[in-house]
Amino acid sequence: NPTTANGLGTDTQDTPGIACPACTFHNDPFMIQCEICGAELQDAESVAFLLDRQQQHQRSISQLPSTIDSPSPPSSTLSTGTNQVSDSNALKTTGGNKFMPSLSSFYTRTASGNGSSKQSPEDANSVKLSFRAGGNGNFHTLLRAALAARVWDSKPKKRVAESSTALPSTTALETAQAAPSIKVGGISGIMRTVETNKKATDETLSQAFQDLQGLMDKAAEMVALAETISNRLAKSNTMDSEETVTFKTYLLSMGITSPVTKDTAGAVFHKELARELVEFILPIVEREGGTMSLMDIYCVFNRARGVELISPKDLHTACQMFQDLNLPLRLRKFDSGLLVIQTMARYSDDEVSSTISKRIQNLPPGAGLTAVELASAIQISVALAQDQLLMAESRGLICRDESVEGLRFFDNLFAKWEI
Amino acid sequence: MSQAASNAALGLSQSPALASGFQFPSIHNFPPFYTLQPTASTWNNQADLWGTIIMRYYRHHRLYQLDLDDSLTNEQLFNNQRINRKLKPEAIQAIVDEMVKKGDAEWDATSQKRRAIIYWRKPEDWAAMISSWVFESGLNNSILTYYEIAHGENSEDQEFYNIHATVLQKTMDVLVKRGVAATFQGANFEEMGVKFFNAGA
Repeated sequence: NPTTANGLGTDTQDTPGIACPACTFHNDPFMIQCEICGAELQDAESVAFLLDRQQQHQRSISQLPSTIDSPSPPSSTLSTGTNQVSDSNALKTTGGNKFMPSLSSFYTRTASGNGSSKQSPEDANSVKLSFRAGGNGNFHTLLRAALAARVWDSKPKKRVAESSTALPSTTALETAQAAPSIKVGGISGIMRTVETNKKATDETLSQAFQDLQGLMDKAAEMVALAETISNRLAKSNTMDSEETVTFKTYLLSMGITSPVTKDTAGAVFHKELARELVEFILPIVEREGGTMSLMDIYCVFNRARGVELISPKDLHTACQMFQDLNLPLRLRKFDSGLLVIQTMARYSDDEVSSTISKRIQNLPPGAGLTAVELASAIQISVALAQDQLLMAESRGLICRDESVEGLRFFDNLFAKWEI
Repeated sequence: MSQAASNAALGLSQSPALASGFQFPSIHNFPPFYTLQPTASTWNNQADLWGTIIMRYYRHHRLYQLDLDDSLTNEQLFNNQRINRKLKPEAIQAIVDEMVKKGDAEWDATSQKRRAIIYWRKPEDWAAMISSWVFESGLNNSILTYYEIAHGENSEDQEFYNIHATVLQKTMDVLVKRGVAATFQGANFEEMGVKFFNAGA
C-alpha cells in the first residue's frame, strides 16, 4: 500500500477517485459506497488501505507539534503500526483504535449485504443520472422532447390496455409496475428517506388530530343529546319511576346537563346557582364526611359544569344564600378565615362537639388533645380541628390547658367535680 | 367517701398530704385548672372549685390574708410542681373577684387587688363564736381589748386566736350592729376596747 507519512496532499494526488463498478461514477477516494447508486466501491483490501490511511491521517494531526525526531513509519495494518510507533505515540494510536471498530463494522455490514437488494425501497420520484465521456447533450434533447410531448399522459392507458388483453404474461409486469424498484442511493437517497419518514409522521399526526377533532365533535353532540333528554324528562311527569331515576344519575355523573348561566337565569342567577350547587354537591359533601372547603367545591363544581364555568365570587355569593333559600347546606367561615360548606343534617355543631368530647373522654387519664392530634386522627385540617375544639369548648364540654407546650384540651372535669 | 370515689373515677391522681396535714383534692392536679377558662360556665365551675380549695387551705392553716406578692402562700396553693403548672396572678385576681362576689373574700382597698382577706368563716359566724366565748368565760360587762381577744391568754385555745385584725374589726362591727357590744376607741387598733352587754346572746 503506497502511503507516505508526509501528509494528505500526495494521497489525493495519487488516487484520482474510485470508479463505481456498477455505474462507473467517479467517487471520492474516501467513499465506501457509491454516491450515486449506493453500490459497494471497495474490496476488503482497499478498505484496509483506507483504514490505514485514515489512521495515519489522525496520527499526523496529533503529532504535528512533535514530528521532528520521530516521523511515524508507514503501516499497512493496525498491528504493525502500533508495533512501530514510539511510546510517545502510544496514546495517540488509541485514538486510531477507537476509530477502527466503527469503520470495520461498517465494512462488514456492507460486505454481508453485498449483491442482494439491501436498500430500502426509496421514493422513486426522482432519478439521478451521471454521464461519463459525453452523451449528456443528446439525452437532454431527448428528455426535453419527451417533456414537451407529455408522453406520460398517453402511456399509462396503453399499458393498462396491454395488461388487460395479454393476461398470461402480465403478472410479472404488473408486480414490477406495482413496486417500482428504482434504487436511489447516496446522500440524496438518505435525504429522501428522511423526508419520507417525516411525511409519514406528519400524516400520522394529522390523522391523530383528526380523531381528536372527531371526539370533540362527538362530545358536543353528546352534551346536546343529554340536554334534550333531560329536557324531555323534566317535561314528562314520570319522574319517580326507577328507570328515570337511574337514568338521571347517569346524566348527573356525566356532568351538569343544563348549567345555570347568567344568560338563562338573569337576575336570579345566584339563587338558581345556589340551588343547582346544593343539588349537585350535597351527596359529595356527605360522602366527604360533611365538610368540604370552598376551594374543593369550586373545583368539583366547575368540572361538572364543563364549559359554563363560574367565578369564585359567584360561588361565594351563591353559598351565602343557602340560609335564605332554606337549603340543607351552610357556608361557614372559621376564625382563621377558612371557608367551608357543611351539611346541616349530618354535621351539626352538637354532633361534632359530642364526638370530640367522647374522643377526649376516651383518652387515658390525665391526657389532653391538641388540634394537631385531632386533625391527624380524624383526617381534617388543623385549622378546622382547632375551630371544632374551640366550639366544643364554648359549649362547656371540654376545657383548655395553656402551657409552654401549647394549647391542650381536656375533658371538662370542673362540671363534674364534687367538692 | 362517695364524693372521693366519684372524683377518683375521673382519672386524676391524688397528691400526697402536705406536711401540715392538708391534702389538696385531686382536681389540683388537673392541668386545665391552672388556665383561666374562656367559657363562662366552665369558668364559673373552675372559680368555685378554686374558691373552695382556697378556703379549705386557709382554714386548715388558719390564714386570713391572701397576698399575691407573698410567694410563701402561693408556693403550695397556686403552684403545682407535680404537674408543672402555676396559676398566674391575673387568674388569682379573677378567682378572688369571684369570691368577693359571694362574700367569701374582700380586697384590701389600698392594695390595688394585691391583698385580700379570705373569709373562710363569715364575720357573723365569728361574732357568734366570740360572743359565746365571752359569755362562757364570764367576761361580759367588762371591757376587753382587741388584743386580749385575738392574742390573750384566755383565747389561746379558741379558734379565733390570732384572728386577723380586719376580720376582727368586721366581727366587732357585726356585734355592734346587733347591739350586743359597744366599742371604745383606743390609741391603736390593739388597744381598742369592746364591752359585751348582758342582754345579748
